[in-house]
Amino acid sequence: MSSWTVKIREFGMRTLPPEQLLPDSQPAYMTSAVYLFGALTIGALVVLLLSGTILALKGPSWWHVQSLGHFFNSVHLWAVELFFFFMVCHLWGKYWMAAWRGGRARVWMSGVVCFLVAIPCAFTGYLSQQNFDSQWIATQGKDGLNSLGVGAFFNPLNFGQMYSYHVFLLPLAVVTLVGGHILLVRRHGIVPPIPLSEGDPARPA
Amino acid sequence: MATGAPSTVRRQESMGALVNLNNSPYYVHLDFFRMSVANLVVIGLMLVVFALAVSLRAPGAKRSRRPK
Repeated sequence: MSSWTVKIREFGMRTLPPEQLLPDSQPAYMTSAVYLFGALTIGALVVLLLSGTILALKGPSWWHVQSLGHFFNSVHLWAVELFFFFMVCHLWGKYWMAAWRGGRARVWMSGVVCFLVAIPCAFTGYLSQQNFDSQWIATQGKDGLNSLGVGAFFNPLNFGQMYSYHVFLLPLAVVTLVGGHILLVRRHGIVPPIPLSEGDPARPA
Repeated sequence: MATGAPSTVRRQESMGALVNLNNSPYYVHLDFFRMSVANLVVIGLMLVVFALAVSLRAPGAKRSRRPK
């Protein structure tokens, strides 16, 4: 009887062999810039995590006052702008490719969940700024959240709770989901282009 | 925040935004539709970048040969 470590290893090797997890070539149809948006989103996420770690280490009195603090505060802001910018372009590209074809429904849905979880992650970031902007957003947002009935356990006016969500719980969820999304992409492969119909002039004879 | 010695003020101004961010934001308001110009610019940029990514060949990509 094999141990649980062996079972997990055998499951991993069976579902995602190393040559599929880290391939040395990709299909020819991937030589298009539209396939870069996913990687650009991951790049922005890495910058977000690094700049956010530095901001968490130094604290609000640093990012609001010191020049270097302003710099990393701005890097964090523009990284999240680019994160959503590229993620939306990635979403558009995959939507028009109908990327859920060929048994890729889980790949598509995991991407959707990533997007949905990233939104409150950014929202709690705006609440964690520690300035008038965050106070304004918190007081406006609480009414909407209370109308949904979630204000009792997700309170934008509770800075400690929002900061915990922003620096730990939601980034952990986003990174986990993105990691799962990438593994599913590796498992099922990049979706091929939609085949041209019979009689289409662009279709090779 | 422009405080401190004049040289500090000049340096901060030279590194400022391309547009004056101290004014009230501009909005496009048509009936039920209301959105800041800044957000519209971002959406427009996303559309432009997406259109370029779809239409332009990727660097290093070879043109496919079609039978004549």
